[in-house]
Parts: sequence; structure tokens; C-alpha cells
Amino acid sequence: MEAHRRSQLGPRGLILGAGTAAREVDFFTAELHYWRLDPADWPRCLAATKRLGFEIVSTYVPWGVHETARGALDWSGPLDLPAFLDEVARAGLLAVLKPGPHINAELTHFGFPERVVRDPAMQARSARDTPVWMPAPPHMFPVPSYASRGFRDAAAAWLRGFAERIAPHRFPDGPVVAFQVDNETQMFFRLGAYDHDYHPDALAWWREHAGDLDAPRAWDPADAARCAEWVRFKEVYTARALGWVRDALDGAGLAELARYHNAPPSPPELVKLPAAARAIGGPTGLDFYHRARDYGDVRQRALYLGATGWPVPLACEVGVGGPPWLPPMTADDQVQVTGGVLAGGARGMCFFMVVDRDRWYGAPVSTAGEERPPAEWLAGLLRGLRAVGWTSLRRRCRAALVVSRAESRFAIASSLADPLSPVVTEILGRQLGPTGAAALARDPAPGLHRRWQAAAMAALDRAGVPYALLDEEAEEGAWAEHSIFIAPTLARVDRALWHRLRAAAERGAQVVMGPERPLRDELDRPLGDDARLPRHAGLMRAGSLDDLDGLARDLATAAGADTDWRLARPPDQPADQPLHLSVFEDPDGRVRAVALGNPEPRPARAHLHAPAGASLRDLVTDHPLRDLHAIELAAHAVRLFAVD
Amino acid sequence: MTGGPGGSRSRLFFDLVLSPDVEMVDLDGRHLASWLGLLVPPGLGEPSWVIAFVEAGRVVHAVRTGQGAVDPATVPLTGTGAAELASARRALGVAFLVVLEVGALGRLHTAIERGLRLDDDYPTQWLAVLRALRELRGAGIWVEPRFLDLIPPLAAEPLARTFELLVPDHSALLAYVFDAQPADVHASVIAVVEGGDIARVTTHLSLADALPGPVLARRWRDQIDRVLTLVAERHADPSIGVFADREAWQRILVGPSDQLGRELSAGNIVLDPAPAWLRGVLGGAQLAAFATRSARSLARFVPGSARRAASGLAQSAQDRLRSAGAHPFALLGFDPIALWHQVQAYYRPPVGSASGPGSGSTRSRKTR
Repeated sequence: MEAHRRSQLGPRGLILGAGTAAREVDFFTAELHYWRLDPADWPRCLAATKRLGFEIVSTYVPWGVHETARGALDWSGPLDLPAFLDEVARAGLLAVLKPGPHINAELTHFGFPERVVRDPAMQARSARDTPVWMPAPPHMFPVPSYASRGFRDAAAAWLRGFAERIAPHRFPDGPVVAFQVDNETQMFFRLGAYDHDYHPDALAWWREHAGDLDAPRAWDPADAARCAEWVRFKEVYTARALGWVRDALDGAGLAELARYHNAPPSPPELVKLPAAARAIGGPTGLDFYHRARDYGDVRQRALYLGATGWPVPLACEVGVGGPPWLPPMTADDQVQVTGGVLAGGARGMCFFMVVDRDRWYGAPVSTAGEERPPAEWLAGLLRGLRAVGWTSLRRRCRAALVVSRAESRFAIASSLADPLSPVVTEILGRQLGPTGAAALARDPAPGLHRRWQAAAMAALDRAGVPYALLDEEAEEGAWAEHSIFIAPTLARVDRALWHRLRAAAERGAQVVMGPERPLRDELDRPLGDDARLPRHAGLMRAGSLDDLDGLARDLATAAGADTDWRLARPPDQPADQPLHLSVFEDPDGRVRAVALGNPEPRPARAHLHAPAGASLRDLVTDHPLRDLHAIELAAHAVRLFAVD
Repeated sequence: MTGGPGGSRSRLFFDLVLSPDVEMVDLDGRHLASWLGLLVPPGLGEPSWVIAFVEAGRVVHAVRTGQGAVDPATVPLTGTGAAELASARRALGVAFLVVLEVGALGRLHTAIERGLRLDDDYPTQWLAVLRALRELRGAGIWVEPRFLDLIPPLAAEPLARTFELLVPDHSALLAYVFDAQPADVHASVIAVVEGGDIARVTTHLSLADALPGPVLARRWRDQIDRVLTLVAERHADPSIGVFADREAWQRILVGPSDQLGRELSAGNIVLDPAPAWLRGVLGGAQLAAFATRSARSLARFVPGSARRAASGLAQSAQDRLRSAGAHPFALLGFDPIALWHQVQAYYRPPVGSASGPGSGSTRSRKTR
């Protein structure tokens, strides 16, 4: 990661300044939209935010609101960002700015100026030679092509105008300490293989990536490699899009500030945090807009973020309240989901929204700066996290289940539901069982691979083995935190992952794979000389898919279950799924916090086995826990405890 | 301008029903969740279904809830006619069977994206989506029960003209549903029409400082004037207000077609203000419902000629509603009340079972 003199994001959060003068600030930020407030209310809203315990406010800076005509930007009244930043400084707060160009923020057209979405030269093109529409309320619009030269030029001009205004307010001269590069860059959630982007400039990017091959417009089993490569190219496209936004911001004079990116709340296979992080030169985190009943999804994404988000796992947007067009989230949903995100190992969070605004409900501070019910919980949470030194803690976890895309790309490439986005079919796929949306693929291997991935997770949970979900492309430092790697494989494996597993085994790590020995790579080409297994690799047995207890025993033997901290249900409470325990240690190896999770849709009582003398306090309320053998967990609840 | 001042929005949009710049403030998340519970048919959340992909008339791939991909040979589809689809769904024992020709979803996307216009408002854009779905209904996409048949042949202009006709500009539309125990506002919405389209949406949260929800709910029938005054002061003069007891609301969803009239008579629902057209529609609908019910109950006891007379009475009442130039929905080209009666079947028995409204043997199916 490149160094930024004024600020950077390190393993615990923000690092301000450099050398001996450097200081660290936890990256817990409060979202507030200055342009949606009366400037007279800015001081009250900022004061309320500070009272809750925040040190940083974050805000989108909307291109489409500031631009009044091509090249004309309005910075007056509620749009006076410099004046707002002065207020932020006066309040003793720091600021994170998010200038897009895509911001969403429930703005019409996601914050793009109307002239941009109207311009055919800037619009993404579908395989059907139509514009690509985003059906977002309150108005559908054709999405821009991030490859389009016209769009890039227009957006770069906006980012220059933005940078010029905020330059005097950069830390240490002002409160601006970081910026977010674009927002949820994922081809506008439309990831269907043959949906888009067929804009001429996008096709030029494809040719640079793949050579003289034509971009495929439908699944062709006789040319499966090209189809899978096209799906992989979308990951390249996304990284390249983020790269030019980063370059535009750096070129406008913001290179010395910390930067990060937020991926949307999608399954790990559909976001690629390491590639995005490399593209922007800073960490890439995930957004979370879930309900408590989405426990499984939250846990999966949190475990992925906790292990893969590097150097600091950021939950870049955690819903406090929500937009009116997503499934409604209650205050309890927010408590449980926030707990779930932290249980996975997140060390930075943006609470979105903290100050109320148009097209939102449930924020803990009103537009006039008055605190409302979620405020008390939020203040308690921040106090508790600081008290245990949360950002210095690490989730205890030797085992990593590897997230690979060698099979999932074939699921997308051969989906019968194409061009419907896998983002949509994954939601449908929740009702399909463990194969999820891969059940819609013509190629049966991805569905089977998902069953193995799910079986490995279930078996590890059953065995009480803590594990992470680690991206196959995660930074070397992230890989170094684990000593056993579980990588379910069928006939295909990503060639680079295969090399990585072999290298890890050479260093003494354990590798568990199978049930098949892969002989082909991620494009279904023979592995050839690369087919050699990692040294001492364990192979899961084919029958283990239907023998979770046996698989749990095998994995426990390989990984070793936690012996001093264990969680169980009382014998009179049988259930389908075990309860979940995450243990957090400080740099000296002392356990300072634990998270207990109940995946079931009914309350549970947990029996916590802890070392003698350990005492627990609720991390939010600070109330001591009197009986470790009878901890009540509501349906889909996650409770956080400080350990004394 | 959306979400605040300034901005580059031109006024090229045809303002029809919903402003692209609609302001949504003082939203109560609990109320939004309650509306979802009140309006989404029970059981639709997790129904059982099979999706079968067909190519050259043969099922080539199938997925089933809870099982993922299943052997295509297990889908006993002999054709895509109504009877064959119904028979296949019954044999599969699922609430819904969706049959998709391979490539049909691509054609659907094309039809939708060629029909969408940036100058249209959101409801009009959705009409383009529905129009595309209607086009592919039976021509690559089949759903059993025949959900897609419920899509009305609605066009944008009649919708906009009907909206203009029925809802005065610079006015507010209100809907409140109350819980009795503990007394509170269960759900509320206030929509403000400005410049001919809905420009602001809010909830009781925008009035709660002056009239807390529990206080209002304890004696809501006596407090309606107070609500209307507050809405007039803070938003716009109310033009239509619906205030309902929650249980009454649910009885209307599942009850016979004259249930609304009964609840109005009993004071469990109050319409205030109720414009003349709304009173007319309700009066006509009640008459039609009464006549239809009478025809059914008489059927067992009276000769055929008398039954035909009773049915004729019901039909003529409905025809009069439809054909009279003064009928408020005349411009739409379909009768929304009749559509509601079809949709209502999905609120009655649990949809998640094979004996739900989609099954071949239930009364609701016969109704459709």
C-alpha cells in the first residue's frame, strides 16, 4: 500500500500525520449529509454526533446536486462544503468525503447529473444494443459506462472541481482526513454475464485484456473459456474503473490523503475486495443493509470482510435506519446486524445515517440535532468498543476457508437466468438451498462446489473450529494470519490459488482440499505441469458431503478446536445449528472480548465454557453477566461482551 | 430538487403521477414495515415453486425451492396451455410453476429497455415493464397460477389523466391504520400533490410533536379533525383521508366484496374527506356486491329465470359503473375494483400450499 503523508489507513484505523507526530484515530464514522440540512442546523447536528462519541463525520458530495450546468458548480448555501468543513473543524471533528462520481445516497439518478444519464455516448450498452437501465426509485435511468471516455472526462472534471474546493481543508490544515473512491462499484449491480457493458470503449478494454477475441453475447459450451474469461473481465473492468477514479482524485491533488472503497452488500463471490483495494491503493470494505433474519448472510460477509479486508476490515456502511425502498429494518435489526459485523472482525464502521435526511428513516439524530432512541444504543456501543480497545483486537482464528471464483464464474457464464443479475438470482437462490443461484447454471459443477463450501462451513461450526473466509487473492499479510487452509475443489481450480496453496504448504501450513484433485484451471484448461498437489495436502472424502459429523471430526482433527473458550447449548435445547462464538485477543494474546451468535429463528440459551476467573460485561450496557451457563440469546441475535 | 437545494435537473420530465424529485421526509420506519405487513399477501414470502426452462418444447433444466436443480424429467409438463400448466403444477405439488423458454429473459430485457423513457415518471416506467411482461405472457413466459393475466392493459396517459381528475392539485392524501392494544398508529402515510404529481411523502412522524401517536390512536375517531387541521397547516389541505382500525383493514382484505361497506357503517373505517367520486364508487360497488351475493344465495332456491335476473341486476350495476361517463375509472380502460376482487383471492388461504389460491380445486380459482 502506498504511503500518504497527511493520512493513511492502517490496521487499527486512521493514521494522521507521519513519523513521531503520527496519531491513530478509530475509524468509526457518522454519516451526515450537509446539503440535505439547513446550514443553521449544522452546528447542532455536529454537536449531537460528537456527543454520541464520534470523532469523524462522513458525507457524500453529490455531483448532480452541485452541478447546475455543464462545468458550473454551486457551492453556496446548503451546498457550501467549505463552510460545512469549517463547522466540522469548529466542532472538533474530522471529515471523510465521498465525491463519487457514483454516490447513490437515494438521490435520483444516483447523484449523476441529468445531462450525464441522458448522453448516449456516456451510457453503458447491453448485449441487446440497448441502454442499461437502473430500476431504482423514484426514477429509472440509463447507467453510465465507466469505460466511456466521455463519462470519464466529465467525471474527472467534477472531481477536479471538488478537489479544488476542499484542498485548503485537508488535514492538518483542515478536518478532511480521507475520501471514499466511488461507491459500490459493481457495474450497477447488473452482473449478468451477457448483460453489459458493450460500450465501444468497454470493448476496447476487453480487447486489451483478452486480445483479439470478440466479446461473447451468449453462453457457448463449445467456447466456455471465452465466456468464463468475459465474466472474469467484469472484475477487471471494475478494478480499472476504480483505478481511473483514484487517478483522477490523485491528479486533482488528493494523493496525500487516505482513501478506501466500499463494495456493495453482495456475497463474497460477487465482490472482490483485494482487486478493488489494489486499484485504489487503500482498503476496500463492505456495506451492510440487512435484517436480523439475514443472520447467515451477515455472518458470511462479515467473516469474509474480517479476513480479507486489508489492512483494516471496514464495514463502510452499516444501516442505522434505512431507505424506504429496501425491506424495512427495525432498531433491533440494526443492533443484531452491527453485532454480527463486529463478530466477523470488522475494525472500522460507518454508521449510515446518523443524522436524518430526505428518503431515510430511523437515524438517531433528527435534522434539528435532537437525539432519538437509537442514539443511546449507539453511544453505548462506541463507549464499549473503545473501552476494550476493539481496534487493537484480533479474532482468534487459525483456519481459513478459501473463497475462490473458478467455479462461480462458470455459474454466471452458463446461467439460464441470464441476463438477470446474479445479485438478483442470489436473493432468489436463498430459497433454493445450499447451491443458491448456481442451481440456475447449465454447468452443474458450480452448484456442487457451493454445496462443498457450505458443508465445510457447517462442519467447522459443528466442530467448534473458528474460521475465516479468505479471498483467494487476499493480501499476503492476510494469508499469513492463518495456518490451515480449506479449499474445496472439484475438477477446476484457480491456477494462482493453486500456486498459493502449494506455497503455503511449503511454509508448513496445512492444506485441506478436495474431494477431487483438480486437473483443470479457472478457464477449464488443463493444469498440465501445475497439477501437482500441495505438500501433505489432506483430501476431503467424497462421502463427507452427506456426513457432516464425519467431516466435522476430520476438520477438528486438522484444525484443532478451541479448548479454553467453547460455546454450547444446554442438553435440553437441541437445535439444527450450533451457536457461534468469536473470541477476540489483544496484541499480548489476552482475550478481551467475545461475541455470541444465535443463527436460529428462535431464542436460545447459551452455555459458555470460559477459563476460570473470566468475567464478562455486556459491551454496550456495561452490565455484568452473572451466569455464563445461561446466557439468553434472542432469535438471530449477536451479543458482544467485554472480558475482564 | 431532490434531497435539497440546487441541482441541475431540467424540467423536461412529463410530470404525471410521481415526481422524480419526490421528497420523502419524517419517515417512520415502523410504519413502513407495517404497510408491508398490511399490503403483501400472507404466505407470498416463502411459497413453494418450480421454475422449468424449456427449449424446443422440452424441459431442459428445472429448479425447485429447497432442492436447487432437479432432474428435468421430474417436471411433467406436456404443453404450455392453461390446463397442462395447471396439471403440471398440481402434480409437482407447488404453489407456483414458472415456465421460461430459454432466451425469454433476454427478450424480456430487450422489450423492457426499448420501452423505457427517461422522460417518463416512475409509475409510467413500471407500466413499460408490465407491458413487456404482458407481451411475453404465453410467448416464452408462463406462470401458473396465471398471475400475469392480472396485469391490466394500463397506459400512462389514462393513468395520469385519471390521477388529475380524482386528486386535486395542492392537496394531501392520507391513510392511517390504528392498533387498539396498545393504542398506537400502526401505519400512516401522507402524500402531498404539488404541480400535478406526488411531490412529498411523509408519515405521522411529521405531526407527532403536536399529536403523539398513542394519544391519537386512543380516540382516533374523535381526533380526525385535529389530524386534518395539522396536515393542512404543515403540508396541504387534505383531499382524501382513510382512517381504519387494523382489524377492520384485515377483514376487508379477506372478506367479501361488501366488507368495506359494513366496516364503514360500523365506523371501523372512516373516510374523511371523501370526495364525491369516492362516495359514488363505494355506493356502486356495494350495490354490485350486494346484488352478486344475492344472486349466489338465491341460486339454490329459485328457478333459472330468476337467477338470471338477479345476476343481470349485478352485472348491470357493474356495467353502469363502467360505462357511465361520470365513472371515475372510465379512462383507465379496466375496472380496478374488479381487478382487486381477483387479487383479493391471494389474501385468503395460505399461498404456500398446493391448496392455495393457485390450486385447481379452490373457490378462488373458480372465481378467476
